[in-house]
Amino acid sequence: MNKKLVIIGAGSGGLCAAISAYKHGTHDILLIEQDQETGGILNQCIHNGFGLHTFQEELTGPAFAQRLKDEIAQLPIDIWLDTCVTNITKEKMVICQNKNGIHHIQAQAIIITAGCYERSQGAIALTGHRPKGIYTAGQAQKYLNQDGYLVGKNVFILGSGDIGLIMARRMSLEGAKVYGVAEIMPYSNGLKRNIVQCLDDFDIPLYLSHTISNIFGKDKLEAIEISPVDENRQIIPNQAKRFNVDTLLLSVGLIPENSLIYQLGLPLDTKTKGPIVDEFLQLLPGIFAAGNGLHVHDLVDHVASEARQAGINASLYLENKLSNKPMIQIIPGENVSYCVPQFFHQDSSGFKLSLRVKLPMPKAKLQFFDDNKLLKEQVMMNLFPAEMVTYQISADVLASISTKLTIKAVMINE
Amino acid sequence: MNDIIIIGGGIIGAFIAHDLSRYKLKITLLEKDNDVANETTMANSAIIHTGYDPKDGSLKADLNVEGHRLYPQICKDLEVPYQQIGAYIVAFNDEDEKNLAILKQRAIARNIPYEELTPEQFLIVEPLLNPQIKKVLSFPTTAIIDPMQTCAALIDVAITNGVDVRLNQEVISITDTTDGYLVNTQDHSYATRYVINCAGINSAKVARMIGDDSFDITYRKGEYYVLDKKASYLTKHIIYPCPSKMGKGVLIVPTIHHNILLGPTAFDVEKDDDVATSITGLQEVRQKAQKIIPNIPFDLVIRTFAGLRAKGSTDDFIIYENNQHSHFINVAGIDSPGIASAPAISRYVINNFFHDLQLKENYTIKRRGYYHFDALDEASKARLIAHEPKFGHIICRCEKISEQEIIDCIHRPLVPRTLKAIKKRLRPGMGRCQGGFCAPLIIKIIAKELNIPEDQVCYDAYESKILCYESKGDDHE
Amino acid sequence: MNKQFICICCPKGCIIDVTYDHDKIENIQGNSCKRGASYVQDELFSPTRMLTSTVKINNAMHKMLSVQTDKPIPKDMIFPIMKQLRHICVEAPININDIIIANILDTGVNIIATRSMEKITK
Repeated sequence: MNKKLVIIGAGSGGLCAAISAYKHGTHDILLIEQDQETGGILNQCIHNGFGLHTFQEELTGPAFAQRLKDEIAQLPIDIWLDTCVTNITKEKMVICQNKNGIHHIQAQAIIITAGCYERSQGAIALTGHRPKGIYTAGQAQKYLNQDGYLVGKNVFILGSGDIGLIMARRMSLEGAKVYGVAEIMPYSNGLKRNIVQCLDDFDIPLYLSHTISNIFGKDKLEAIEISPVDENRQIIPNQAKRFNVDTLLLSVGLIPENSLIYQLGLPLDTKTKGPIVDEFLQLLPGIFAAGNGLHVHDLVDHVASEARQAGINASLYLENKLSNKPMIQIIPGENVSYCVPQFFHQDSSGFKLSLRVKLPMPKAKLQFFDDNKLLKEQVMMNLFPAEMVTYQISADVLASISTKLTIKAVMINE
Repeated sequence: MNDIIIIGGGIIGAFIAHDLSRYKLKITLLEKDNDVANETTMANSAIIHTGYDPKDGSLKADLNVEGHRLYPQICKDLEVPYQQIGAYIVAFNDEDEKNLAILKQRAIARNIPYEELTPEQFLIVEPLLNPQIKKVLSFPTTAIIDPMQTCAALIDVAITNGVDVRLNQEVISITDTTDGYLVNTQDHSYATRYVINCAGINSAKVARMIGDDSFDITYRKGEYYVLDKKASYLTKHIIYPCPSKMGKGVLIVPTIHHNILLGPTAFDVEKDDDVATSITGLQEVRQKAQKIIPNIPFDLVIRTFAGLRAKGSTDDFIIYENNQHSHFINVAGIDSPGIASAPAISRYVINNFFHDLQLKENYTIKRRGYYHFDALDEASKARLIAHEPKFGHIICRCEKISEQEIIDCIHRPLVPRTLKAIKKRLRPGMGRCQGGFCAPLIIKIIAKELNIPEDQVCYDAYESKILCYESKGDDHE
Repeated sequence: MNKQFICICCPKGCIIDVTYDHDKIENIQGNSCKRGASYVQDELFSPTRMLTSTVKINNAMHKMLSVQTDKPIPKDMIFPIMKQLRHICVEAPININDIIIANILDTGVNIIATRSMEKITK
């Protein structure tokens, strides 16, 4: 089978990419989804707060997804559900399988919007026993919001990311007692609103600079212990506090689903764990990535706009309109943990840059260097590691770069 | 009345049940947990050593060499994976080299193939090894298996041949009767002529139930890291430091499923349920593993675990028939090389303590392996999906395991009823996401196939239900 | 009486200290803008929240249907409404914004579906 554009993953990113590519003239599109429905993780995120940028109103996750589902239903775009992409090649062959068989689809362009997965108990090497009762927050969310079951009634949460905070409220609303949230960093990784409305509303304490130091119970979780950590995130001994809980939820980070990129033999960004892309979001000519499969976003609005851009870029690629000039590297400098894209073409007319800072900065200068030469700086307010920063880089800044573009964030103390 | 009660459903109990099941005997196997292979068999390095390590004249030496010889055919009959990948023992200094010389002498005496490699030689094959390593003693016939799958397969054959396997039966006392023993669990009593005690870490406790305190078992804990398949580039061989008194040290082991295992530590603990990992233990594994391969990608860790091995007080396997209590056979102290020796241990028990056994007219030694759909060529995949569409439906994204593979795994003689039992046999949830996506789907498959409500599906232990409370409904307050 | 708030009007997250009598703010400190003051006023004397939850649904893809209040509700009505939702069971098909319960507990607020779910015949 041949297709102009194959999109892998029909969550918010894939749906937006497909709609946008269609609107920009690409009409032969196949959207492949592993799950039994489109919409991705939004379907289980029943809380509101999505879509302020995209739809200028606050929607719940399912409602945000419903808008995209309703929009794509109006377009002649093929959608294969319950289908798993097992491999893609550099020649843009997509191999997938479903109940109808194994399929080889020769695409002219591919967009990977495969989303991300949650870091698990094993990945963070928690110490202690490994009983029943330890779940990632997203897994408990699925059990509760789609299947209708609480995994326990006495809960502790590790990690103050938004999913953890949201689940603290959800479990409390459904009758569980949440004893606390521990965060290894000295600051919360969640939105302020979620701290107030998910923790404070339910009198749930937040233990900053704390982590789980022990887990008890061989078969079923009986208790956990939390301990304070020092500035190097090492546990300070003999200050453990014990909570008798039957459930431990983990909200300790998300990792882009990068297995297809790994299979392609391409290197991953050591920080984002996603692919390395140019300003068109291409990892190879004609193969694009966007959304949480590229780097983990904190707002679905950002996923949506990035994926829409990937859809536009794929359409431009199919019309042979993307640059193939030599590329210049973008380096995350002081206080910047990563930048996406990691490269841009010499003749770039400007693009949206996404980055994260390494520490909270109420006020900072974003500085752009060509090697050691400062080209531009921009004052920005309220930069937090948990909140992705986006910045439109203009063509004139890019045109004056001859070696590498280094981006720094310098704190302004007042 | 049973002819034989086997206590313990680890790899030893499984081999003995399997091997005895072909004879005209009434056999019941009692397992304290909710699944077989749930203690030491579940948490070890999964290596079929060749037998160079045990001391001369020990049971371990004989049974290890013999076990290693038996495995390829057994794995073929059971259709479980077996792979000879070879092992490197590395020497950093003169003392290590002296130890290597002893191992080499044992290998010569026991007819075990070996090779001595200089840095120039081994660095070509394993370029990531620490260049400070002075010498490698290579044992090319060292193999790896999947102990959990092997154990389940042995049990399935045993059940097919008529062995009665009872889960959640913890032996709490044993009494003498005129013609044998009465083995009492928390809720049943089993009359039997023979008892075979292969209760692993609990074997000394079981022996004491008939007043035998001639041996002790120490619980020796080992902690491990598991790395994602992406780390499989680290080594093609099993890499050991020179063995010491506390065991074989921290190894770097490619698993049969292409993960990398780092460990174990060796730390004696007081309690038989202490399988907790610790900061110090995992740190020790890190440091020791990094001494062998300096650049280990610890960001690819997907799991840590710990297990207990049953260290016997005699420093050798403890296999004997009690002389005051005839027909009570202890098979204890099976620490390393326990997995490697297991088939030979079983034969040793049968040859030494059972005589004039009569073969059944009909019995099997074979069993059909699990489908390993992802490993098949495309034509075979297409054929299978055409025959059963559920082969096309991937449930575990990380390990690429289909719905039909899980269904096929459930409908086996020993039905895996829990998430963990399926994970141990087929590996869904053993990948990078550790079941984050597939666990909710597998719960639904188990419930459907066993015709039970979803909320009755357990994680592992008896009554360890996952979906504990319905969020909506009248009974919920 | 004194109380501290984290303002959630913007990402800045001002920490606002308030002294108040039973229905009046006497002193307010720490807010950088007027929105902060009115946020504290509302939080102190008439706090409201949007509530999202689920109800049971029959003959649909999932066992639960996601729902929300169509307007913010007084904070103290959260648990009474949650309790009401326990006993609700709807039948597929459902369209997004369908009213599941009108004027729940006389609050003047409706419970509406936040997604569509088709009827599935098993």
